[in-house]
Amino acid sequence: MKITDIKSYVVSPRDAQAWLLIQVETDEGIVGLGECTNQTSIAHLARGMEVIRYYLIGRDPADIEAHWQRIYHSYGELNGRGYISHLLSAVDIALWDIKGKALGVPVYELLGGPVRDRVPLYTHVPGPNSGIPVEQMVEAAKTAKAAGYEALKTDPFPSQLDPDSPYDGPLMVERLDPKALNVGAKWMEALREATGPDYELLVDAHARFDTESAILGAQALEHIGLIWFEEPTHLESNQALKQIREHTTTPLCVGEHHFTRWDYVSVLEERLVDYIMPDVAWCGGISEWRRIAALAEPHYIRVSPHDAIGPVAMVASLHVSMATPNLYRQECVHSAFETFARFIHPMPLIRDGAIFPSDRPGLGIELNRDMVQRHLVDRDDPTTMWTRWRQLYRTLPGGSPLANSKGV
Amino acid sequence: MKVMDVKTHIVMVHPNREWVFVELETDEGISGVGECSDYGSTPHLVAGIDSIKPFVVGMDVRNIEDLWQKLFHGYSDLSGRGYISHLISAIDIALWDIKGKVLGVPVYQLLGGRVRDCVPLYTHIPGRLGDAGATEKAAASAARAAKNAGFQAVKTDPFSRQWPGSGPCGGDMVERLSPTEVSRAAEYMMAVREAVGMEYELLVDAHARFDVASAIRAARALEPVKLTWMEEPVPVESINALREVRENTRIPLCVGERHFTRWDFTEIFRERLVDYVMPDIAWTGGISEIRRIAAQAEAYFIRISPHDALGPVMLMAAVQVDMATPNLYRQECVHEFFDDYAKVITPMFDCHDGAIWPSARPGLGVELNHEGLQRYRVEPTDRRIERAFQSPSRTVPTVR
Repeated sequence: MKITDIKSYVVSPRDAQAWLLIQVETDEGIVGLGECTNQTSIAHLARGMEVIRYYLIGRDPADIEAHWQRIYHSYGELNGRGYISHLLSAVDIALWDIKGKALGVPVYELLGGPVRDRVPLYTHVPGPNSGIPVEQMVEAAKTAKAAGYEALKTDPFPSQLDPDSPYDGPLMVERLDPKALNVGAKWMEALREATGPDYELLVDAHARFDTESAILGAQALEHIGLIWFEEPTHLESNQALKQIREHTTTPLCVGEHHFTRWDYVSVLEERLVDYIMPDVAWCGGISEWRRIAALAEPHYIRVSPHDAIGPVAMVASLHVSMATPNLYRQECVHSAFETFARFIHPMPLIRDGAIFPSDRPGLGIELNRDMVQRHLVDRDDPTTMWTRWRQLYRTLPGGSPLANSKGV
Repeated sequence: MKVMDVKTHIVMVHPNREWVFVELETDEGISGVGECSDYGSTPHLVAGIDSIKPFVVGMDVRNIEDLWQKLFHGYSDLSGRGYISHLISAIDIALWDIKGKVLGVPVYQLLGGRVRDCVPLYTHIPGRLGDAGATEKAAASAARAAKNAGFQAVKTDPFSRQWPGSGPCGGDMVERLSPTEVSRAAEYMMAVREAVGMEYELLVDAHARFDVASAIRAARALEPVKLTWMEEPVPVESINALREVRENTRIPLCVGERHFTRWDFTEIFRERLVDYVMPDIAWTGGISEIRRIAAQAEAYFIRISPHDALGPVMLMAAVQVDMATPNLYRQECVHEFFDDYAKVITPMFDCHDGAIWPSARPGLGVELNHEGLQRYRVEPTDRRIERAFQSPSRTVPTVR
C-alpha cells in the first residue's frame, strides 16, 4: 500500500474555533483520519502539513514507526517537541487508522487490546473569564453531575491581561493579586458546595502564572480538596514547578504543553506532579502517547488524555484510553458533542459520563464530507482564533475589527 | 514608525545552501533585515513567517521586547523553543537593525558599546560527516591553510554517517559508532593535530548524532588530541545523556545550536554540564535572546561562541553581539562561504587576520544586495531546498 495524498481541512464549526483535520489517502482506497488542532496555531500547522505531505506521498503507510523516527529526528534543529510533534501527531493518528482498517480491527486492539469496556470522562464548567455569573456556573455543574459526569474542571482565576494597555508582553506571564486569588477561591467554593464533598474537582491554571502567584493560587485552593491543580506555571522551567511542588499540598498535573517522552523524563524522575495529561494530537500521536503512558506507569502515575479539541482527536484519545491501564479519565468538553456528531459518523456512544468504543476497524469513524466542505475556512482567518489569542492581534494595521475583543 | 510589510527572500548562491532573509519595511522608508536560515527546514520557516505576519505588520518598530514576549509566550502551544524561536529571531534581528539605523549607530552601541576591536573567528575544515572518504592528508592541509590565513582555531566532524545502505531506516536516526569508526575519527583528528602543532585550537562537532555509549567511547578516544571542545556529543533532548558523557570523559564539552532561549540553558548551567555554549542568533531568539543567554553564561564564568554555518545576515548580527559581549570565545564561521556572502550583501564586511572588523555603519552595517537577491532567489517549492528532509525519501531503502 502507498500513500497517494494528504488532504488538510481547516474547519470552523463555530466562532472562535477551528479544527485542523487531515485525511491520508492510499492507492488501495483506504483513508486514514488525523488531527492536530490547537487554539493558537492553525495557520502554522496547516502550512506545515503541506511540507510534511511531500515527505509522505509514495511511502508505505504501514511503516508508522519508521516515519515517526525519521520525521522527529530530521527536525532536531526546529525542535521535534512542539510544532513538529503536532504535525507528527496528525500523521501518526491517520496511519494507525489506516492500519486498523487494513487489518479489520479497532486501533485499541492493535495497542494490546482493551483493558476496560468504557472510558470515564471529565468535563468542564465555565470560569469567571467567560463573563457568566457564579450562579450560572453552579447550575451548569449540577446539570453535568446529573448527566453522570463524576469530575469537573474549570479555570477560576480571572485573566490579568489588560485589553486597554498598548503593551501585551509583560502580561504574558500573569501575576495574581489578592483580589484575583479571592475570586478564584470563591468560585471553587461555590462549585464544591454545588457538587458535594466527595465530587472530583480539577483546576486548570493554563500555564499563565509566575511562580509566586502559582504557589498562592495552589494554597488558596487547598481547602477545596482538588484532584489536581494543572499547569500552575509556565512550562519551560522545571525549577519553577519544583518550587510550587514544595509549597503546596494540592496535587499537581502537567502535560498538554509537554511533547514526547523527552519532555516528561525530568517531570517524572523528580516527582513534580501527581498526574500527567499529554495531548494525543500534540505530543506525537497515538505512538508517542502510548510510550508516555508506559513511561509514567513504573512511577505509578496516572495519565489523562488532554482534550484535543476536535472530534478525530477525541476518538484517538478514546482508543489509547481503552488500552492503557494507568488511566485517570479522558478530558472532554461535553457541550461540544452535538457539534462533533454533525462532523463525524458514527458518533461514539456517550452515556453516564463515559465514552464507549465500537468494534469498527481503525478509529471507527468517517468524516461527514458535506459538513466539512461547508465549514472550510481560510487558515489565516482570525475569527477562528480563540478569544484570548485574538486580543494579541490588536496590532493589525488600521485597527482590526477584532481590536479589543473581549471574552465570549 | 510602523512596520508596513514583511518580505521573505530565499536565496541560493551555492547548490543546497539556501538562506532565508526577512526584510521589514517601515512607513518612513527605513528597512531592516533579519535571517532565520536553517538548511532542511526552509519550507517550514518561510511558511511560518507568513503565519506571524499579522503580529508584525502595523507594530511600532520600537517595541522589540513587547513583540518578543508576545510571540514567545503566545505560541507556547507549539513550544516557543525551536520553530517559533527561529521566526522570532529573524524579526528580532531586523527590528534591531531598524533601531540602529533610526538612531544612526551600529547595533553594538545599543547593546552597551564595544568591548573589543574585532571579533576573532574559528572556521571549518572538511570532515568525514560530509564525505566518508575524506582523507587525513586533505584535512591536515586544509587546517594548515586556515592557520596560514590567520584563523586561530578550526572545527570539523570526523565521524562518518552511520546509516546502513543509502539512507536511514527509522531505527538509525540515533547513530551508533563502531569501535572501528571511533578509531578512524581519532586518527583523523590526530593527523590534523600533527599538521598544526600542539598549541593550535581544534574543535570537534558530533552534531547531536550519537547514543550515550558511542559518545563516551568517541570522547575518550579523542582525549589525546587535546581539543578545545567536543560539541553536542548526544541528542539534546536528554540532560541525563549529556550528564553521563560529562561524567565519563575529561574532554571539554559544548552545546547550544539546538538549545533555544534561556530556558533551554538553565539546566545546562545549573548542572555544569558544559564548558562552552554556542547558541545560534537566528534560531535561539535573535539579538535580544542571545544577549540574555550570554549574560546568563557570564554568571557561571562560561564563554559563549555564537553558532554560525549559514547566511551573512546572521553572521553580521552575531558580530554585533560579539563586539559587546565580554565572555566571548570566538565567532564561528565557514570562511569558504564568504565569497558567496559578497554576492548578496553590501558592503561586504572586512575580514583579515582570522577576525571580522566591524564598520561604524548604523544597524547591522550591511544591506541586502537586491540585484544579487534577484539573481539567486529560489521559490519555497524548489526541489533543491527540500534537501535534509527530502533526500532520505529519494534514497530510502525498503524498511520492511
